[in-house]
Amino acid sequence: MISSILLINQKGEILIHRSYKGDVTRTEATLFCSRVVAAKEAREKPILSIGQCHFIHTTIGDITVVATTKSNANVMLVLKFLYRLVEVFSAYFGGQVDENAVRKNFVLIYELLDEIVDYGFPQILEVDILKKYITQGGMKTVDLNDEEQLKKLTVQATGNCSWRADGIKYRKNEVYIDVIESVNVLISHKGVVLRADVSGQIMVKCLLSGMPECKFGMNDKLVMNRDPRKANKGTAIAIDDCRFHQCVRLPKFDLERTITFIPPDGTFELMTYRITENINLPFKILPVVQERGRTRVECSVKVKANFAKNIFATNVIIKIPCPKTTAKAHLSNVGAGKAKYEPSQGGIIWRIRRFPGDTEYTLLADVELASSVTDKQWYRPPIAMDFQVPMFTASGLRVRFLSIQEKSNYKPVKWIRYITKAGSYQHRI
Amino acid sequence: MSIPPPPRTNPVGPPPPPGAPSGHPSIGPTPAPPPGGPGGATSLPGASRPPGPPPQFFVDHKKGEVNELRQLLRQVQLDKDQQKKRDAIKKVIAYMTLGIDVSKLFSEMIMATSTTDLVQKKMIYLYLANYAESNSELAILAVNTLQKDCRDEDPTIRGLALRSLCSLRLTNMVEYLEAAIRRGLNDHNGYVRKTAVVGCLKLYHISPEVVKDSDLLSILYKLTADGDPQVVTNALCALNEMHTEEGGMAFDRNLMIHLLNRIRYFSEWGQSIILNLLTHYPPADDNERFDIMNILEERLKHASAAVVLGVTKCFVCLTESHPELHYQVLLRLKDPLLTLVSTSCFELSYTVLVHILLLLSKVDSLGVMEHDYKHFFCRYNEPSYIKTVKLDILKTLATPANVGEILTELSEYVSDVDSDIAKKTIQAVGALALKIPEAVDTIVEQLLGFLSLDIDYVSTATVVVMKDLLRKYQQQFSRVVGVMEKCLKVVADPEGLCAVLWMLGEFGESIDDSPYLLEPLVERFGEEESASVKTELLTAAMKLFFKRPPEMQKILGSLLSKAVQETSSPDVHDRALLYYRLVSYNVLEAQRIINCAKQPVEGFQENVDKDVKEKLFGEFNSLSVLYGQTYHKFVNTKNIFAAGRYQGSESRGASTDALPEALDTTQTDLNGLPAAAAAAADEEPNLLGDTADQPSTSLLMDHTHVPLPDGPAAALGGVGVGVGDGGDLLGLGGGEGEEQRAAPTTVADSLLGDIEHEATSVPPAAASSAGSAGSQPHPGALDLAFGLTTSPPPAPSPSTSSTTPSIALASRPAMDAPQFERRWTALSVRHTESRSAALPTDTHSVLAAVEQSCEQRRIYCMASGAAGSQLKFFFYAMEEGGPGGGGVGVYFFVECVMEAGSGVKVTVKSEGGADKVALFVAELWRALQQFIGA
Repeated sequence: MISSILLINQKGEILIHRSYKGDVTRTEATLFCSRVVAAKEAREKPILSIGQCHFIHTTIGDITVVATTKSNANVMLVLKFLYRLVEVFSAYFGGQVDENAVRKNFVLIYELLDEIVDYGFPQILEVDILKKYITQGGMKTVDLNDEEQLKKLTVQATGNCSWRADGIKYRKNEVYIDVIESVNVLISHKGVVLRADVSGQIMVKCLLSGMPECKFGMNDKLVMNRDPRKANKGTAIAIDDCRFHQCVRLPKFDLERTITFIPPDGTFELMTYRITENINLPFKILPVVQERGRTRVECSVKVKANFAKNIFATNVIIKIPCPKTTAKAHLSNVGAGKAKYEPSQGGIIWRIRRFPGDTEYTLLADVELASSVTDKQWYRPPIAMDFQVPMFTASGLRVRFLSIQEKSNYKPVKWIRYITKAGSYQHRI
Repeated sequence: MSIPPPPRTNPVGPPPPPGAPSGHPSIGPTPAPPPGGPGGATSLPGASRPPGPPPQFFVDHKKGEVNELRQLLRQVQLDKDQQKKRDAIKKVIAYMTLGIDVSKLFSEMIMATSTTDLVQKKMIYLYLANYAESNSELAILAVNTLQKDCRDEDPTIRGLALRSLCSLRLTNMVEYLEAAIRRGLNDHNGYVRKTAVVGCLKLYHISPEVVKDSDLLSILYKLTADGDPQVVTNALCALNEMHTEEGGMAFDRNLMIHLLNRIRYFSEWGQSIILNLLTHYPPADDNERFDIMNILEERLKHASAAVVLGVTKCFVCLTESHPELHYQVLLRLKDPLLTLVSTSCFELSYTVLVHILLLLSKVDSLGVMEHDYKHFFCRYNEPSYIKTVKLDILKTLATPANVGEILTELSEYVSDVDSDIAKKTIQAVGALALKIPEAVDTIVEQLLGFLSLDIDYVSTATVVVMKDLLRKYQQQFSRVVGVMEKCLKVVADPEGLCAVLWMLGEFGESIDDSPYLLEPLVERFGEEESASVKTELLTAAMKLFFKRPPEMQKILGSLLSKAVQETSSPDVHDRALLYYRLVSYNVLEAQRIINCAKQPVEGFQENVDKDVKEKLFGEFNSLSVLYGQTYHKFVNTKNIFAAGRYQGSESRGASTDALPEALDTTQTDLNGLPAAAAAAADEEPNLLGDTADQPSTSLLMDHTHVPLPDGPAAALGGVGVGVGDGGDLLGLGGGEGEEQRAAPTTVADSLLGDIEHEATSVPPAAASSAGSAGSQPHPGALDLAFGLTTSPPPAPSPSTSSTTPSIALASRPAMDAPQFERRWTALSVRHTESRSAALPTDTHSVLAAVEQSCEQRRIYCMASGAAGSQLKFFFYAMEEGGPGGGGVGVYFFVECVMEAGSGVKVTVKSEGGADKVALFVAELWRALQQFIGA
């Protein structure tokens, strides 16, 4: 399926070239480098062919990760594989995958690539299990002469419960749940919501001993409506679509609508979901942009927080685009935070560290334009927002319970956090 | 086998201390780590180097570097210092990464294999796998250690050794391989078993016979029921790849049930591979169909996009023959797919979008996402490739109900930073108008709005779209009239200008000053560079002439004379002559031909035909969908003896030789097919009038093959003859139309005078043809010769070159491998014949030569390959006039085996009559002439 894997830097130099089948030559790879990576004007399609060779690639920071093939490969599988590959790398490099890390760890990368893929087919991609086969890097290594330990890990690598090892022990048993929602909104210049959806993610950090059996519940409509007692207790959420970590027993979810699982150790993504109904947009933007003649643009942007008084948003950034020919921007009446015209960003950046609920701030900007020869029309990109609102979910989703049962019958400590972030939060002007 | 002992003394003198600065600026410029210190990856000498200048600048130093390393390796072995040795080996790997050839160190590395240090072992094995092919003699020395490791008590080492052993790709090691793989397949450890399974596949590629003739295949089949999911996955992959020729591995009911029941225990990769293979299993009945789908449904909740798309593929394939079910299934798939679209990974989103577009290509599937069109609104920061697909989807999803909102949204994209997106948006708006007649009014309004944006590429694209619109909705012209003058000003590039000219010609009667809009263009005729604009200008002026004779007479006269003098573009020149002769022959007739009433175009032909889409459904979730081509077009399936290329280095070289050639055919295929459909798109009866789409010489070309008609009724063919007889016919031609003869004719007479007058003053080159109009008895002949020289020479057709009765074969008939295979097996043998062969010894050059020789005779190669001294080809050909050409064409299929010793043997199959087969066989032997002995 995959003929070779390449890591390429921004200049189009091959950093790593691991060939599995020997049917894609380095020359062909170099061709890709010079045509696609080095020529960066336009973002090329992620899947393309040069001659007889097909290249599937994704770019992370300054590194382009490429899989090549000469067969009619399963694209989605290869793409997902590349994403996972990057995840594995970042777990090994301690977070950052960049050119330096790659150069520093090339032996480790070769070793990883050797275990991860065999003759083009994905093999082991679980970081925990890989650790035990990999000799390089700062990760703990298993004593290879300890026969018992070795047996255990090979069984685990290929066993039925591949995500959790036996015999995990913690002195203090804790579970942390993070509900992270990204709001994607597109609002027309008339203020009509064109599309709004929430893509959510439930991350669980699991520090539990033994083989805990977990059951998880939230205020999802499908579940709530099954239970007549709870049907009218609080608002139920209609989830459009959800997907689970592989540890969740899907047949049980289909039958009983309960989410049951034995969690992997450490942090994992329990589920992702998408909601399109009844979304509480945390911020409302009211922009007025007027072009006064050829050399002036007047903007007034009012931002209103639509959540309860007792919570507040942090790191709110509002990017108000300005024409390329902007000479100067007079900012007046900045309600809160700091605003500045930043030419590199192509607009006024308004930063508000702390934005309490149920308040509104206004920014008035008077933008002076330099007169230019090419009198082109301004394209008016949308106003974009970035923010984080802790303890708030745009969809209204709440975790109702998480029950944990284990043979040793310990009482774990459970923590929960909610946070809503801006996904692509855009308001056209 | 023994390993030679390391050299005791170092003949070259004291080597530099390991890890010391080596003089190579790009490697190890930093001071070496303290020897024996807590090394590991972090203190690696080669690793921490800054991104220095590319290594090729240091070619001179390279040899020295490698030599230094060699000494380092030798010395380290004396030292017995494991850490130092690790560092040295790492350095070798670092060089390898940089693309420096370190194959010279092979013997040193072989010596190091005996190490017990796993870290070193892994690196050395990686090195071996990379360079074994070029050092096959030496590589055999490593086998000993590898074999020993295959029996190690640690499963990790067993697995590693087995994987490396199989990766060496050496033909002379097959025997060792097979034994090691067998042992591995029976290993109690899953890790070793899974490695052995892949090892089987590697062995298969080195030597297919060894696998086929042994029980390895049946062992693999047994392993599909293994307890370890990864072993099962690998076994499935291996079996499937070994059966590529048969279209993948066979899937029986038991296997299917077994896999479905256990699918949740597989990793996401395993699951998607199984899902992909499941489509090979044809369900026995509807109940089974439903059972499979019910089991698979829960998989849609899986976190992996690959699994979700795999399930989609299964569902689509299972319900293909059940339209009702298909629709319901799509409804179920909708939400998971839309979720995938909204991920933040652009590549993933793009892939899903392309698949959605394919799903929506079935007309009855549109309802599924009709109300979800807002999901496909573009975000500002999305890359262009996503926006393009989204535009296509929006176009597909539009209905009279939602077209308003979609149009409002589309108008936002016109100001996109990427001009390509802006253009595509405008094209999409135009497509919507053609699709939904109710929206035409709004759309024309919007298009006029785009013109007022005053952006040059927007205006151009708008005008082009407007022209297409008017071909369907002629009544809309009244609203466009006002902006024509403006259009001419804002439009800059040839394509847009052509569109405006077409509109001027077509609707000139309703534009008050249309002749005067044309006039400046005619005056600047010489400065115009684009031939297509010139041709279009000619046509427009001609049409307008019939509508506004008094105003146009002069303009047309000067235009024609300018165009006749035009020498750089034969198209323009010929077109001008043609018009001139047409008018001078009979103005009424000319008017009938040039200005005939047009039927509104109801629909424009799609670029991609339905068949391809149908086939793509079968190849769901693969590269095919992304390219919009079936896999035969881009995967090299030419070599039926695919395995042959792995036999030794000699044949490998040959296969790379054959590659560019294979590439060529693929590319022509890619270009060739849709073009035919596009050419057929224009169904207007008026051949001359409308050339906005194809201002080509095809018209003239056609007449080179047609005998000249003698009646004046055949207007076109008669042009040459008519002009030849000059004035007589002009008088005669009117006939009963004499009294009806309107102003244009008289005008034409004077115009003719103008032209004759002008013609005398043209330079000799042009004058010879223009002047010939009056003087030569059969200027048609000259005209034809002219046509021939200017047009690309027609492909050498066997029918014209030979006087004996022969068969006319079609150029590039449609055929793909599965179809070939089906028909080949279905048909009976019609003809077999053997002749002695005259083949050079170099079989690989023959392969290409035979294919080329046959292709010249329009006998095309489906597949070819070499097995030993034997060459085998499969050819196909179609009689001219087959599908696409109108009549019923007969296909011929040929199997041809050539062997230097035993001769050339052909087997022909066909559904045609005996006489045709005989003719074809004769043609085939002619193609193979140079390879047949006396």
